Amino acid sequence: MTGTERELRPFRLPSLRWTGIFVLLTLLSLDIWAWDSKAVIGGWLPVWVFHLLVLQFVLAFALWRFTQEWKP
Amino acid sequence: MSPTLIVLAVLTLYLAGSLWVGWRSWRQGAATLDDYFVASRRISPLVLFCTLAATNFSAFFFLGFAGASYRLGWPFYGLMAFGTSLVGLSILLLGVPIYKLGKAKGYLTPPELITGESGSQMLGWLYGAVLVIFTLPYLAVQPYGAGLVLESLTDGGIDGFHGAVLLTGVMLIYIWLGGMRSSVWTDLLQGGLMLGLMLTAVLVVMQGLGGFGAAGGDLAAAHPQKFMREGAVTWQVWLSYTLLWPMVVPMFPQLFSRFYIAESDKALRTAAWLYPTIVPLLFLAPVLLGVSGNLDFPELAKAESDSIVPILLLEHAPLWLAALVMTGALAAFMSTADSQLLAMSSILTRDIAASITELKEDEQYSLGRWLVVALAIVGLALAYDPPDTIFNVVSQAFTGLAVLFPTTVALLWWRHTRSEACIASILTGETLVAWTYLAAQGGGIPEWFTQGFHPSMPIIFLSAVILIVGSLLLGKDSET
Repeated sequence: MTGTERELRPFRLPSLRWTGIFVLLTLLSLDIWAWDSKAVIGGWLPVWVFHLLVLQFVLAFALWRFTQEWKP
Repeated sequence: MSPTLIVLAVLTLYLAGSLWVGWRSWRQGAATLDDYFVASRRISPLVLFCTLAATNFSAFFFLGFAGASYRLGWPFYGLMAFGTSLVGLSILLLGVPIYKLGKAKGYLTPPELITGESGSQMLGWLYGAVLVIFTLPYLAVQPYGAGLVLESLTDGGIDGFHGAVLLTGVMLIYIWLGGMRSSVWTDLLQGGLMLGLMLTAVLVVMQGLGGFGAAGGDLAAAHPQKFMREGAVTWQVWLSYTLLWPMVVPMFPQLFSRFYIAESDKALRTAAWLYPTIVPLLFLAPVLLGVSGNLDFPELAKAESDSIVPILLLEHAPLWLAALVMTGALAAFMSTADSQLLAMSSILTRDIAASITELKEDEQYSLGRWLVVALAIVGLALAYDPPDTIFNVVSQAFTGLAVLFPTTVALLWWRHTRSEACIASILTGETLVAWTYLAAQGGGIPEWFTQGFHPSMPIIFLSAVILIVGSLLLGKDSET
């Protein structure tokens, strides 16, 4: 194995901040505090589904920012 | 025009389109092993994202999602969506390293990377064996399922087995010709069809039900429990699925192999953030259809509810449109099955045949193509009368494949990983998969083991613990 090949592993995250962000988003997706919610938007979309939709777009934005920073 | 003729006309157009795209891709490629299995590592960002999505979303997305949503209601969206969006993170944290190592060292299959990075042929074989054991039965189930869709579409005009032969035959031709390149470009056609036709189905059915607001209001009045998580699912199960998808999806060999085909790591970076951009909206469609099915057909049994999409279409759309939309289910089947066929062929060629005997590259290229044919025939033979064992293995496939996740992550990200600990981790994990399966068949999986979570969670956790503790006990291994 050459030196260059050896340098590829192990890969490393740029900072623990990103781990925190992704863990936080996952915990927020649980939405336990409104588990019994029956509220709907527009008569058909449960509010908790809307909450999940928003979180997923936040996740997409976070990933986009992360890709700008993490270049192994 | 008779209903069967309409379906056949739509089907012929779709299959001819797939063949044409497959043929065009083959003409642009080269007859080399690298091109056949990884499309010469030249797939651009947007195309890579499309092929990852089309490969991941099988016929289950088209039919099974709606069926499960019919039964469980909106909570099914929660079980699937956020976890699948997190696959974007896996594409980045696993896909980019796998791409870089694959490009630097010429890896073509998942076990090759595992063998190369761990220095253990035994670990590579074990890893490959798990991939084959849990993917091969899928190859049999997929044509079986697609044949049944075709049989129901033609009202018995084409029986299930002949339908499976027809669809597998077309798939075989374009994969035989162009390998990964054909698979990727047909994915674009098939994925586009799947998405476009699913959205068409939503618009047609919701209009037939009086619009989104009216249908939602009627549904909330008649079936309020379909809107609520309480009583339908626990937070432990919810969290289990959210964590399971990003761990298991990259372990599907057909997905793992696609990390090698990117033209640059930018392609994977783009696919990573596009995934959670598209998935949230895409998943709304089948869930909305399934939940709304309770308005017109509130008493369907489980097997019937898996056909809720065609049932709704036949109720609210002209037959030609229903047939056209259901072509999307066949596209979803083919986009996944062709990738599985190619991934299995590459593993058997590179990790089994080429590791036990000397084979030149052109011999491997030839063997790989013939193995695609052989695997398709085996799949069809099993689809003729699938034994129960196949469905049993498929039911455990997600957990069985997720057991490989700790090993994959550790080899890429942790300096102290020892191959012996990886082997112990995988063997323990798979033993637990078999045990939980047998326990579920008997008195049920003990609560002390799952603590309310999906059984995959304690299994993956224990596999990871064994890997970490084993590696630390064995000490630093500078060779891995």
